[in-house]
Amino acid sequence: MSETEIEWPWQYNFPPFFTLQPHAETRAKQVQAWKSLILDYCKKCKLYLIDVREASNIPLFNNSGINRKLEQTVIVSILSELQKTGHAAPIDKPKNRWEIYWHTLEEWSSMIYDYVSNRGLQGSVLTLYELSQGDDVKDEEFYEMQQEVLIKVLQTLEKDRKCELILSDDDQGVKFF
Amino acid sequence: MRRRAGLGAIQKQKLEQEKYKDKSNEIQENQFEQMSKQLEFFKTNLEEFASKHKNEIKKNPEFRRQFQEMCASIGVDPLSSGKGFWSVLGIGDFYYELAVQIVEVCLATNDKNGGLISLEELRTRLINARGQRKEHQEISKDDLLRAAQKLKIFGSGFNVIPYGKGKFMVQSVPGELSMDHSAILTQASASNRAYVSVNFLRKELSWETERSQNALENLVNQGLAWVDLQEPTHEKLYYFPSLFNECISA
Amino acid sequence: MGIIFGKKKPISRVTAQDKAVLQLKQQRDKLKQYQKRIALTLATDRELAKKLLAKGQKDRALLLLKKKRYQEQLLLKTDNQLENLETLSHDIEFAQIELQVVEGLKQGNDALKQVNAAINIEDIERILDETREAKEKQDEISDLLSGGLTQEDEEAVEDELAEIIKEQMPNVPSTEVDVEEAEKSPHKTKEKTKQIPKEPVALEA
Repeated sequence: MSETEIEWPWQYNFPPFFTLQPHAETRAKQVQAWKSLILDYCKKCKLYLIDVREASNIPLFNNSGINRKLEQTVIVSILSELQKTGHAAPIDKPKNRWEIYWHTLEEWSSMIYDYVSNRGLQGSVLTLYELSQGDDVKDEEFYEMQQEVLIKVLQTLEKDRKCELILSDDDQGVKFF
Repeated sequence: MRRRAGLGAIQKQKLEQEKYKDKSNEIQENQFEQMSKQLEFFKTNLEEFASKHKNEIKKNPEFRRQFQEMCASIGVDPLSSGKGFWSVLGIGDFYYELAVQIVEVCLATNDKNGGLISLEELRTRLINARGQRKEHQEISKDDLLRAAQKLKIFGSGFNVIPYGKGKFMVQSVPGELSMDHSAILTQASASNRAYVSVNFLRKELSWETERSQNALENLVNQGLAWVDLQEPTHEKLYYFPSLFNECISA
Repeated sequence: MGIIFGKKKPISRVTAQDKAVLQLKQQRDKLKQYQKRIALTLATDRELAKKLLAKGQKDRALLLLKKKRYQEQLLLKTDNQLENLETLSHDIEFAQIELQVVEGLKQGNDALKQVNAAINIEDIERILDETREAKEKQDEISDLLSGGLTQEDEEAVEDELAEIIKEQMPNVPSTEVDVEEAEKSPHKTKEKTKQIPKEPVALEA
């Protein structure tokens, strides 16, 4: 995932894009653009976790070409906007670490369940490793999904009684139904 | 007696005045009639001319411009006459279609530029959109200006703002843009950087801080300018997406 | 505590076998990870050996290649182990499926038994007996009824029957039927033949 592969929108090179706009309407457009940019970027780079404190290490929030950065408080407020639609969630109290869901947990869970149904894997036990790292899922979008996120996705499936997680110190697996 | 004579004189005077009035009316009417006849004659000729050169008018922007001028000189507006002869000609249709397309482009780009678009960008986008259709009618800036001017009638905020020499911007959101605003746009465009600052305006236009700030903040509040606070000099910069190259080509 | 947990948590559908399979699969995952790691070191070792050779450190290169060879053997071994694991977990899974099949058969068998139990042989015999008895009774009644008529009555009945049969027999038509016409309009001829038998009856009277 080299950075050159990312197609930046025009806003990325527009210096004021990195300053929160005072005018409400303009700001709404700006935030909207940021929201889709963050999701697109994370999707392309398979980035599941953003630590706001280290955001300036990610080119997404730091355009060295025009010497502009997005402030941490602004990042948090945009991520909070994403949280409203289920596309992000903070995983610590001070809201420093954020999980990014370019597909919502519900979307992910139906994607995984579709995969399971298509392979006739209901009734089988799978390890979390083979579900996210195995050779069989190489072409699936959830390939290399972060374990913490995977567990959250499976938990939403568990609520619908479509699977049961087997989590202990030794075991990390899931049985589908 | 004197009194009576006086009265008579007044009446006489009144009578004369009325006669004069009648006469003048008569003359006026005559003239008007003649003028009308001439105009009518000219109009018929113009119509004949138009129907003869219909295709030429549609295809050739220069031809179109001159034809427009001729029409304007006798107060005929082929754009607004949707009925009768002119609609058959389809000249009004040409501008009508163009105007609709202008609105489409303005709405589509509104999200990026806040409703302000340069005539050049408008033209590029329009030609791209029209490209496949018809025999690729050539569209001049003059056509665009005409069609855009017509949109003012809707009163929904369509406006044509001159900036710089021979440059125009089309505004598609309600809001008043003063001379100061177009002066700012001129500066931003001339600097080729799509932005200005209070200092910059002081240098180029010798405006006082107050004046620049008012105008600039006003542009921000209309959603036409974006604020940048990260310039290393800590100077507040005002950017115009409608002049920003990457935005124009996006 | 017990109440809080006991109320919500439904009975787990994960069996002991499931857990065993999971264990095996996790072993397999570990082996796979191990393979990945070895494959990676193999590649880097080869590069390193090349570099050492270029520098003229033949001994060290050789040593490195030996290590590489050893790891390659390891890789082969893990392949075999992986296969074993896979077979085993498949076997368990298949055994579970077989178990389900047996379970299914058992249930089917039970159902069949239940249905059969509902059918009592004695009941059937009794029902059949009763049916037979009812039939005999019916015959008796008809016999009794037919036996109530005298010889004369019988004859009269026979005569009446003969009369009815005669009436129903079609008469030979008195007029010749126009074949063509008959063919042309079968409907019409039908009407005629219906009318014809009536005439002799009227004459007789």
